[in-house]
Amino acid sequence: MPKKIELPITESAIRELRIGDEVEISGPMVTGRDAAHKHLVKTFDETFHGLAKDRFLYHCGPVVQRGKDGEWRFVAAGPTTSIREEPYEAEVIERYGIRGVIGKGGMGKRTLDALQKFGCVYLHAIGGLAVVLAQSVVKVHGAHMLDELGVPEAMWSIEVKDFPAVVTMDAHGASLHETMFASSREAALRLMEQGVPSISKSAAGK
Amino acid sequence: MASVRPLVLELIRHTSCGLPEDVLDELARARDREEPGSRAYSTFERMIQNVEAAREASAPICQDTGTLIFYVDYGPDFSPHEIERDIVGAVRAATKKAYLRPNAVDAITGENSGDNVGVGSPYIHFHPRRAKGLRIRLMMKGGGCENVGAQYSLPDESIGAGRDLDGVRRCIIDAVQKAQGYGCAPGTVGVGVGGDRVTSYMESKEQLFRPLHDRNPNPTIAALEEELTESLQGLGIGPMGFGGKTTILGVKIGARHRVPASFFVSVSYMCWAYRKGELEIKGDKVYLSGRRMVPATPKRAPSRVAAKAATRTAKTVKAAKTTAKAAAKSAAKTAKTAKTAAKAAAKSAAKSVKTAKTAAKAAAKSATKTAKTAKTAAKAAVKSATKTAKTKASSKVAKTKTAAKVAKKSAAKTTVNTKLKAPKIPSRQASRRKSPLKVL
Repeated sequence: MPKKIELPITESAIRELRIGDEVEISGPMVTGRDAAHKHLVKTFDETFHGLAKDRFLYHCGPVVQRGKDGEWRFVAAGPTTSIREEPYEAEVIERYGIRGVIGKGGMGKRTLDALQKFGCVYLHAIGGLAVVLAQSVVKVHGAHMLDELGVPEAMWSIEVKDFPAVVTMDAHGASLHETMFASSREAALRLMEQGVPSISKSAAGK
Repeated sequence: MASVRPLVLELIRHTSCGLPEDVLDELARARDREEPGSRAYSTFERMIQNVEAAREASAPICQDTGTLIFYVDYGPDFSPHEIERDIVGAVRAATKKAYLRPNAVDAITGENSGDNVGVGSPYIHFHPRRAKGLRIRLMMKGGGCENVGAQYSLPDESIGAGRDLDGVRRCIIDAVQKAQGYGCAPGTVGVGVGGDRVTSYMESKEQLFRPLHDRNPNPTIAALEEELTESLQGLGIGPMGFGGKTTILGVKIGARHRVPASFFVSVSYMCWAYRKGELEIKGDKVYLSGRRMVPATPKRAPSRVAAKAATRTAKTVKAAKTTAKAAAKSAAKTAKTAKTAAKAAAKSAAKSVKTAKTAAKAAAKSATKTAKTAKTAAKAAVKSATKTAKTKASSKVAKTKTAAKVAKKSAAKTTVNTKLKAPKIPSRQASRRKSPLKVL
């Protein structure tokens, strides 16, 4: 069963999480993708620090709608591929005290080391789950640097309820992506050696 | 033939906001293979839940609505120029209605065209055919899964792949393993063998239009498809690469002749959000993904509005009763034009009660104006009758209903309806169905 996570969260609670843990996240978090990451390592952004400290950063470029009352609403909000932020993420985690990074596809060695050093985890959201994930965003507080960065790239301050994700890189140096790649590679090589079963190999080999 | 633009727009909505039944079935099977409560089980459960939520909201199941790939087979009664115009128009309209995300950006500057139309976008393949009619197939392929596609040139020493079927098999295994969860597993694998670099990849994409449960007509390839669909699950990659018993939903392989010097194997990976659809026009019938599109009833016909006013004025049960009777009688008898039906209704109404007279006249007038079908006039008359003559005329109402049905039928024959209602997007109910195939 999924573990419930309430944000903000402490370092010791983060270190209790292990790869493979299913979680449901509730509380305030912030989005950020390519342009935001570039900006965040260039200067120290006090506003972002307030939104991100002891909370999670979500790699997401949402499709948003503004109601007649001026309230923002997330329409589609699936995760985007995280590896693009690999050059910046370690520094962003260190500078802003982020406790979790949510995205898709996992990240590299530098980020994995930073997770261990500063007490943070990488959580994998389900790709293609745009509608369900948008529905778990119960409130949009606002967007930081909306004018400068535009809708998908702005840093959206949001409130989520039971946002589903899986811990795939933990604060102990373990990565589900690494172990999965290794074990599936082994299985693939074994499978290759089995050859084409019970089919005449000459059929297509002329 | 009228513009197919509204039909293509429905094709796009259907394709973007839902999944085909074969894919839904396969996702449900994959879920049922996992232990309830496990990570893989709940991931599949959420995927199916997302499809249902998208279907209800007519919202895209994934925010990456992907590359739009159209395959058009057209008969001599269709012009490719007009079809192209209609497809481009439908793509623009679909983007406005948010069935599609603006997804076409300038290759160099990254500037978004805003409406999914750009150089080479949408991508339309045209194939002329002898038989009359039109078939448009659409695939929407997101960027994540497109990025994990791979093309091999055999021999490939790194994976021990020679220029034979065993080499082809090694390429497929290698590509699926390297794709991990990055292409939003479990995916379906389309494979093109032979051809040149372009047609090899094209073949791999065309394979993805095949239904998941069909069988390749080439027995050698069919055997390989079946074997790999089973054995690749052993890689254990699972949904999104979280680990699990299902790594792929299917393997589809096609082969093309090649020049002796080249041997390409191209692998296209389609994510679990496997969006494909088909629109077919045969004679006056239109099918969307194999299901007949039925005429959409007009929401507000002028004659119906007039008839509503008639209901208000025709106060006595008796008057309404006779009006209905006459309308039904005349509709059933002639059922040729709305004019005669409405006229008869007006006549009989005028005879029985004076108050209903003016209203019925108005009905007749507006009916004559539009005079398109007997359907609306008869229907409206029946409606007003049933409303007021609830208690006394219950048996007659049944009669008028049948009369209206007859009128409707005859009307449908003479009308060329371009406004059609799409069948429902496949629902989660389909995935609850027992699968026709054995569980692996």
